[in-house]
Amino acid sequence: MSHGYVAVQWNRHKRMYDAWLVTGIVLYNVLFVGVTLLTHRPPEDVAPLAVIAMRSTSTCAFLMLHAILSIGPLARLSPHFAPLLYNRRHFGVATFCVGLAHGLLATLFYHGMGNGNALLGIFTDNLRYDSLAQFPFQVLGLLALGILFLMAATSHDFWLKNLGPGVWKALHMFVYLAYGLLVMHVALGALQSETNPAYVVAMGFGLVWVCGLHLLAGWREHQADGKPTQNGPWIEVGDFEQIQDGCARVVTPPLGERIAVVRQGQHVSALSNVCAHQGGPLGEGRVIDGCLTCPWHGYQYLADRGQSPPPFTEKVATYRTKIEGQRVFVDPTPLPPGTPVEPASVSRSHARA
Amino acid sequence: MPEPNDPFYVGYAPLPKRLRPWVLRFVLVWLVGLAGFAVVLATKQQDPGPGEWDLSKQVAIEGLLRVDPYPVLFVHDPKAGDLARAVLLVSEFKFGAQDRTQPFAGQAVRLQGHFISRGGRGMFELSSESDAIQALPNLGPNPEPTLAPTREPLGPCTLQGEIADSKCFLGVMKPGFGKTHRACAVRCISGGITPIFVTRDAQRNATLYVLTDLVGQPVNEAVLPFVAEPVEVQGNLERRGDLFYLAIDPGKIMRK
Repeated sequence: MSHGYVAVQWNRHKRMYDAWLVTGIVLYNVLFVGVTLLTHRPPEDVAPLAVIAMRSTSTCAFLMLHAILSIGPLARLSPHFAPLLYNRRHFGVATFCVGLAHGLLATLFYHGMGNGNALLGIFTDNLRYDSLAQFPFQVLGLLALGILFLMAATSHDFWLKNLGPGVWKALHMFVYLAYGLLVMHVALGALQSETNPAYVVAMGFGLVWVCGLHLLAGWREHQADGKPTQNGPWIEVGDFEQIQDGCARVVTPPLGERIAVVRQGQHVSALSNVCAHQGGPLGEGRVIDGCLTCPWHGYQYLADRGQSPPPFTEKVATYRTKIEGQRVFVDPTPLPPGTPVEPASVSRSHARA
Repeated sequence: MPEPNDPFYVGYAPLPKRLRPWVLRFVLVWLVGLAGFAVVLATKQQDPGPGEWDLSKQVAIEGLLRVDPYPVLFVHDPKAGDLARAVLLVSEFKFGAQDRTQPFAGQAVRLQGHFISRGGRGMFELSSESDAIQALPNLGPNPEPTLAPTREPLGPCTLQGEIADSKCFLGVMKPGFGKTHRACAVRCISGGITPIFVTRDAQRNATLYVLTDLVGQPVNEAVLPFVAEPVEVQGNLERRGDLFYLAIDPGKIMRK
């Protein structure tokens, strides 16, 4: 959680995550280059080695982007994937670095070492913008790399705090635009010269995989939302006993964000389902040390106040709750973030009855 | 959606026991998956071709230097029979060698540099050293006149193929043709490297033609918009030594 800023708040999980991440990147590139040298003609000079490195880094970065795009929906589908999500930002920065290596090699060897500006040449060496088959695919790759750079550069919580979660999240949703640009970059570039169907099949599978996972996660979430029963201003959440102690139930009001209704012993509180950090689903979290804990990065909130415990400062909207008999209700009108609300209590409800 | 009994992971807390086998699976899938993709994609990638560019040692060659309009060294080669072997000349990086060779045009010279070759066709990259070109009084046992190539007109023709830069196509880049190489070819031709027209037969064997305009002048700038695309050209064919020249009207290049 954020109190002061450091470059990276290292812990054992992050170190392990990054170690396996880097191991995989090194393994892939060493294997790709090694197998190429074994199965193809060994190069006598630097240019073919550069082409091999270009191919190695490009395919590696593209695979990594598929992995990144898969983590979100996988974590939505099953909490077993949560350890992958925890340090996803480092995965993103690493992907940008590998993609940058590809971009630098391609720019230097294809656009550079001649009589023009190499960066400008990306836009001007091929002017067939009027043709799909001859389109200058390098421009698409550069735009995608630019998006990945913006995401990597703003991945730190400093930017999250200063841009605000909404802008930050919107910016990082551009990863889907970057993916689309890279699919076109590959389709209009490498796939025009790679004749082996393995490349087309691999990219097609990747596209179906990423789209399929997102559709599946969205469909499952839509199914879970349901339509709550409204009673005046109140929405019925369900039976008190059906909410496990220390957990939450998510309800979807007709308008506005989802609401996490949290049970702590005999009490229920309600707060926004959207974590102030990165928009994680608080309602899928657990109560730890008296705080509802986000399943994405472990941000914590006192459920009756919508505030992180001091000295932390995150706040989310809170909601009024009531219990009639065993039925739990929530008023879907959000209160300003951090507004204390007295929890509804089963015992109090019984006493009133 | 997660169920209340599912294990709950928090990054800064100890890993729940029930998640440990999952983390192990993730690591295995990550490493094995990447290794598998690396092997398959590397094995299935396009063959870079047999081009050679030997930078390990600088060599010298001797012959008759002609610059009309591109620099070519004509050398004796018993394999070429009666024809003088034509070796296209180029400078380092993406630059032609016209300016450097022009003062020695028509003379017997010794050149220092590196060989480039693909498919039996050779090119020579001049060293950047100031004495890379040395004029010779004669060519030793081979009298100069026998090297002077005759110009043999072969008549008008229409060809379909691709415009490429001779340096990359002849061995520097692998591949040195096609769309992915287009930007590099444009920079090379723009930098003065001899533009060539490449046709292929049914077995994908390539034949090369040096491109000039109709009066035998360079066409580097004029062909840039058509580089690395399938095109059709009409022109007059000529043979000089073992090298074909195709004189075209760049304004009549047709995209296919």
